[in-house]
Amino acid sequence: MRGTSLPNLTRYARLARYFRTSAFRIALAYAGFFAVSVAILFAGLYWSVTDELHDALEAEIAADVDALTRIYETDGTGVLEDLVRRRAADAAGRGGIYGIDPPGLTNQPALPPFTGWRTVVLDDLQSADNGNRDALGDRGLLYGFTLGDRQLIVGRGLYRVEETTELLVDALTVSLSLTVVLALAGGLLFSRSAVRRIAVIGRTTEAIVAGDIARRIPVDGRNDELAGLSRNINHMLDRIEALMAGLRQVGDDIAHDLRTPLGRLRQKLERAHREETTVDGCKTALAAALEEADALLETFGALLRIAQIEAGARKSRFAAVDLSALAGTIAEAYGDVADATGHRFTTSIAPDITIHGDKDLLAQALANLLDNAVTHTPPGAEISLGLHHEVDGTSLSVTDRGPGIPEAERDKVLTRFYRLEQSRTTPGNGLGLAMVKAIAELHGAVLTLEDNRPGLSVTLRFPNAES
Amino acid sequence: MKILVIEDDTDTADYVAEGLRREGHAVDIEANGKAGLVQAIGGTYDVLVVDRRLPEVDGLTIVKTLRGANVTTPTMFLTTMAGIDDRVEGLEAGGDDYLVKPFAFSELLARLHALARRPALSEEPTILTVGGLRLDLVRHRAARDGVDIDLLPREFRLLECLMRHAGRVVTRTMLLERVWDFHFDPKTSVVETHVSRLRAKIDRPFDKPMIQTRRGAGYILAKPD
Repeated sequence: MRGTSLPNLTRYARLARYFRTSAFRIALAYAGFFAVSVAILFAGLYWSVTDELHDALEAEIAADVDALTRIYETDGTGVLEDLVRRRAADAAGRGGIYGIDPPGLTNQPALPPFTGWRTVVLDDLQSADNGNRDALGDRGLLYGFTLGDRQLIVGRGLYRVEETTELLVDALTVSLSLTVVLALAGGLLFSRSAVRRIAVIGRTTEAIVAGDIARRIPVDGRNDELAGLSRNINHMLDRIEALMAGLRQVGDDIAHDLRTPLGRLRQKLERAHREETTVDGCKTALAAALEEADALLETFGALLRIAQIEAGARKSRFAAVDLSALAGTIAEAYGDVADATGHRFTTSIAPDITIHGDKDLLAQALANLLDNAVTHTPPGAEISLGLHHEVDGTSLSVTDRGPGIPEAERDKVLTRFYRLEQSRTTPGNGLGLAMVKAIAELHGAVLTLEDNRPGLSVTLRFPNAES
Repeated sequence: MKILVIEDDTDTADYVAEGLRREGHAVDIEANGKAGLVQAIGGTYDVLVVDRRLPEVDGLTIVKTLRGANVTTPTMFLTTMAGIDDRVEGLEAGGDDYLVKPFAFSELLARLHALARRPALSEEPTILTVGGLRLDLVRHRAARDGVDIDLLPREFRLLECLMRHAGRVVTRTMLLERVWDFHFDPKTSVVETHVSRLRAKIDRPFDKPMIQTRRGAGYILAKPD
């Protein structure tokens, strides 16, 4: 019992789900709409066809009436009576109706005398000749009039009109039910396909929730809303995955690259603890340990900042930044530094360049680049800061005549903690360029490292606000 | 100074209070946001030190409420919330300064002194004098012992900042924020270089130096002994 009822139940449940889908409801509404328009079309057809047939019958009757009137006027009552009698006998098989009273000569004798047009139900009449009923139909259109002392009736059975009506109603019934069935079937089919595709999306998100973050919704060549939605969801998942990877990277970086300085800090403390016996010695060791701890904290802070910038945290605070003024401030701050370290510092800053961005972060990016240039080039080398209009944007560059970075290393120096072999001994945490890269990406700018022959040229290219 | 520290972490609160007391300040501690707010409104404090994450009422709300109630006591946020936007959020709420944990005590002390000594806008002086040093903020002119000194705009701002806090330590980060509007720490000696230029102009031509370096803390400008 249970075994048989269960699949049925799920089938009903599935069917019920199709009925609940919006696609199916829309199909239902369309089915109704089509049914009504088919009905209106048929009604119009019905009225025009029956009207036409009626007019033709009326014209036939009017011709008869004319003919009978002329006979009466030229030949008199006797000939008229004869003619009507003949016609009544003759016309029966062709759908005609004739009557004259008195003496009641007619093929429809029970009709009481009247004048003018009248439509009657022939069943109500006592037919003298039932053999004619098929040719006449259920109803008749009659015209009553008087000629002398005789009351005449001329008419036609409405057989043709009734036949046409019946045909039309039959056709209407068939096409109406066909329309409804087709619309519903189409709707059901369409909603089944939509439901199936939504189920695929549902299964994918479930798998992702269960931990398979690499899963994506399959997108075929279609270009409808569902495909668009799927693509959007996939984009969103890509973004989330990148952010997660970034966070994981931060975690890994902390685990791996901060072990070394933490180890150094521990060594210093341990040695002081073991060997120092004087207060002064302890104080010196503690000061060194404090410095190490501060450097560590700063590295933590920089890592967090990069992660936040990469996550796009600051975008809500974007505003117009006068890049020319900013570059001027930084150039002034670093000009003296470069002088003091024996570098030649030159600037070339185009005026009135404004971009949409974050002033603090842009200042930091530029300062990081100049920090690098001052730290990694020997005294006497030239360092230049440039800000220029370009065809499709703005370029901000720091170039130097130092040792440069080998081409193979240029991508690597943008990653966290990566430091060139020759600069391991200079101060720094290996995060400066990673932060510049994050800031550039936040601003939609392209960061390129090029050979300055000799030296390094770092350029940030900001796109135009319009494009 | 009379200082209220609203901080729920007892270690940090004790560390701050102990350090400040050693410097000769009176310190009250509140561990609960609500109690801290009540205390801040009722007490007459020179400076408030407020954590952001607190039980019952958070630090941001405390400062917003105080400012709403027209309590203008200078307030410093002391918090682990080091997010890029957190500092701006704190200052927008009405905080006067924002220091991120972990911090160097010397930094906290220097900033608290700077806060408490900030004069009301109406009392803003137009001429600063320390010993023989005279800075005319309106005419942008500097002189020592009656001798005019030619300063570049940035040097002028640097000297102004040091003179406003004369006799007190001004840290490197404070100078970066106030003179250059840099909210990050350059790896190179931007501050040191500019201070040394300034020294060359206001100290070297005269017998007694006024700018002293406090290693690991910052700079002090003071009357020569």
